[in-house]
Amino acid sequence: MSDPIKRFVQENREAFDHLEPSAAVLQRIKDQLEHKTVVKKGFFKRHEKAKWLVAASILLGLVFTYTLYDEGKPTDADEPLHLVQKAAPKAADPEPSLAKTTEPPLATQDEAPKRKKRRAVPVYKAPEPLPQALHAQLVDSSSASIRLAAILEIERSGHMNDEILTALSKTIDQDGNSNVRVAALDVLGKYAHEPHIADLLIKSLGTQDDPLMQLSLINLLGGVDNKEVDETLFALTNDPRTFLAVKDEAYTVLLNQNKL
Amino acid sequence: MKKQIITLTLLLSLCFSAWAQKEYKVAKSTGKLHLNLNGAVIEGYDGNEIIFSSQKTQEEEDERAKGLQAISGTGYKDNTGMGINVTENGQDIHVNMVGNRIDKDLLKIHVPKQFSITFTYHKTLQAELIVINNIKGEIELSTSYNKVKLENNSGPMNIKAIYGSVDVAFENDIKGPVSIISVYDYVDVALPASTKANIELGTSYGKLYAADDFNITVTERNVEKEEGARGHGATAISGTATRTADTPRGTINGAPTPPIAPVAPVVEDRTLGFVYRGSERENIKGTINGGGVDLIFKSNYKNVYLRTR
Repeated sequence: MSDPIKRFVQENREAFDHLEPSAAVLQRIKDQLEHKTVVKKGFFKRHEKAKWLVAASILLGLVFTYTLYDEGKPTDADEPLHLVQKAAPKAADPEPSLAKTTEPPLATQDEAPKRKKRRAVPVYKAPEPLPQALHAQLVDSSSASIRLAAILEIERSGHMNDEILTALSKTIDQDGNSNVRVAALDVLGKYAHEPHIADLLIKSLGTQDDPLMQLSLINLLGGVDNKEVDETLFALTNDPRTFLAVKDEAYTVLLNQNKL
Repeated sequence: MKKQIITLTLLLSLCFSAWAQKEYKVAKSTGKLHLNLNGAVIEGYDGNEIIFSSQKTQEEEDERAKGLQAISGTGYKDNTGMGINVTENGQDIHVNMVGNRIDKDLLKIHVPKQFSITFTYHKTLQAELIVINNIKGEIELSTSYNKVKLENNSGPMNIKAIYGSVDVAFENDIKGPVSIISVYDYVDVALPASTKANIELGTSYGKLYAADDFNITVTERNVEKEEGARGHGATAISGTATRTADTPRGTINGAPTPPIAPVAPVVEDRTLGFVYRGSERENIKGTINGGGVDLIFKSNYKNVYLRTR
């Protein structure tokens, strides 16, 4: 009985219980009730045209998607190129059956276009897979032994190209391990008759600060009658920081060439 | 008699108490140990801890230093009580000297045998012996003045010593490549006679010695006989030069040419020329027992010994 209106009605019931409301009041209430049922109508009942708008939007979306998908497909002009590129790997690949077996046996139709796209990319033919693998080992920073093994493998294979030469020249200048640098120099030294290798070694002699490498380079280049080598040797002998054995070796070379 | 026994017991107990062994342990079963010490004895063992131990007499304890911590210009602080700083960084354990270690005994380090070891020390003073035994991981060692002794390590290993000698003894389980170079001192290697290896031996001013048991099959020999000042035949780099050394030469994009036999000076249209000098360099490449792991042993100024074990 906390509601004051309710209490008031109960206490004064006799005063207005005999009264009847007018018909207009009843009608107004009915009208309000009917209006409420209209509010509860569904979206499509309230907006008769909305369903047509939604249907039209879906249709437009489908048409737009179809158009986009159609543009992504190869055109007729592309088709001959596609066939040529598709045929090329078969000719180059000595084991086409191996490639087939590596494909998933239950490939769905959705995967087919993906494979076609991959084949459309020019296939890198690796005529020299050995240097590629060795190149990766040559720059392996985790282990000096891996790098050394790569250099020994390069030496054993007798395989040499500009990429390996560049990698080896980086090794002799930048590798953190002296044994690896010396091994790389041993390999590069065999190609010292190539002018650009010789230039590279001469420059390296001027920049090396590892006595082991300096000695190896002086041994390799000591017989070369070259002004830049002589200047570097003189610089080494005059540098107080130069290792004693390196100084001795540089002096020996200069003395034997009558340049002291 | 009783008094004598009591006196002796007291003296002995005093002696034992005067010697105190310090230990510092790091729980780690695999990883890489980076050592920058003046010397150490490193032993591989079947365990899960790196144990640093040092013998110190009580007389060596500095009473004045009690309550203080040793510091160094290098920035390292002694966190072991043994004059070294041990820092763990992931799989790497770094060990550095703090100031000057003046212990008479070498620091002993017991290491799980699968650990890799990197040892570097290039200071002039206090360079002591470096001993590494029974390690099955990779060993990298670069030192200027330390002598090096390696025993029963499997490799692979890269060892460089400038002034110090290198003594190595291998067991049967050798993993290559192994490269051991000393500039001023000898390299002495003991291998099991049954070792299968590709071997390279080299010296600039010393001699190469090998046991007959190995029966080395020489695949490439490079003896550069240098007789003195004969550089007059060489010309400038931009013009014609003389090449007389029999250094094996390779070709780019092709197999290296076989070693060239010593011949009279030949004029070549090359930009570089090699001339004789005043020493005899020897370099031998070959195989033992048909070839196998790669082994390189070199000394610039002293001999290289290859013996059976």
